[in-house]
Amino acid sequence: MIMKISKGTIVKFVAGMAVILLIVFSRLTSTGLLMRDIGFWLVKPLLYAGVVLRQESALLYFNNTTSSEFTKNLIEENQGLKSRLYNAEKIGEEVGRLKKALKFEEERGMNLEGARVLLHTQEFGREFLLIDKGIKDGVREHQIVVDSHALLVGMVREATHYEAKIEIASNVGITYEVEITPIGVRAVARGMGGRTFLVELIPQETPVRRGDLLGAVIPQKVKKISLPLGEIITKELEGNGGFRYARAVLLAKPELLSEIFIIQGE
Amino acid sequence: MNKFFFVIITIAAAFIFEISFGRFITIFEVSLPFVIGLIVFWYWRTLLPARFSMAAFFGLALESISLQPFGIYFLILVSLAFITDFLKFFFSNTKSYLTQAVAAALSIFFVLIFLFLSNFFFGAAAGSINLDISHSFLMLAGALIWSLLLPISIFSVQFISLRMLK
Repeated sequence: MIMKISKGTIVKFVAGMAVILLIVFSRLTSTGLLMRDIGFWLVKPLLYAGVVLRQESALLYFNNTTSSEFTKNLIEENQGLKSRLYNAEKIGEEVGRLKKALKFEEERGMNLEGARVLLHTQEFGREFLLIDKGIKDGVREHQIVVDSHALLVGMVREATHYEAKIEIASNVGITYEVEITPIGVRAVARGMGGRTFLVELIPQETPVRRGDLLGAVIPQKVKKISLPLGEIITKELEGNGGFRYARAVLLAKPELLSEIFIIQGE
Repeated sequence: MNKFFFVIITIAAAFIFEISFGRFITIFEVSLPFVIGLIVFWYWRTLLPARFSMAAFFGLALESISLQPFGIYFLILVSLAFITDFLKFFFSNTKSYLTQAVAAALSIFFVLIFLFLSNFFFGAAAGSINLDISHSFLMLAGALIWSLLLPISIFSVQFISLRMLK
């Protein structure tokens, strides 16, 4: 098969390949950041359209299905939280810690930057959020992100001038040092994907129960801070060795978030 | 209307649909690859230079909302531009809907498998991912199911609508 190729096609082909190679290898130069900014400006109107569409469809859903399974689950969850709060009131020290977590901005003098969530999505099990704040707003990689209840959401994985991507804390491969509340034992929570954690290195004979909370211990410049991360869902600890393990779920609901807060230091 | 603008409008609409509702439609944690499916659909109907323009434009847009290393979508879409030519040649009876569906399924699977592998290798290199084998197989199964479902749906709709018009 003989193909006739015109000069114009060759020029287009060479120019196209040059642009694509420039884009692919631009990561090594400052043009990479510029390329990402251009890409973001291209899709920004569509992202905002998506935000509006999601909000409108959520409103329609809630208006039309007040007695749905979803609402029932929310009510049950709310009751569970109230019950837990009542129990927490009874055990003084734990509630103090929880209150600190909820009002950590005033009590610990943390510098927070609020941002709007433009997109919640996942690529092969890796969940992440796209936000409308970037380097120009002081957002940097590895900064910790919380929601309005100070529940740990994740960390900044990538930032450009005008946007940043937040990797959700329960993604596969992400690990946090945690403190199990109320017993105060330290362990390690390893992200398993799908909003779950494997809590490892729990000492033998530790009385961990279903419903115990996990606080992620995050090192900051001056001291470590503890942020609510997950909740134990295993009835009984598993494993036979010196250490045992349990399963836990993420407390934050990334898919429902419309705004998040980035911890920018003390 | 200029065909390129029509392509942009349809893919923009698919993009809004995917970012709004795509996360609700997953198979084994693999989201609905609606935009990729539509790009494959348009690739099948355009020539190589036009496919390069599409690769540069849509690649840039997809890069900005992806956690993949920068440049992956460009590489995938440029490779796919060549692969489409190969598939057109290999499946010489391109007028057949079944042939087109099979070729589109292969194209979509190529994109998803490339994304999966880049996620796996670059993530592992960055120490940010540690997929276990059963999890990986499930996601590959999800990618395969989407690869089959999307083209079959698109070409079935096209086939049925053309039959009805006749």
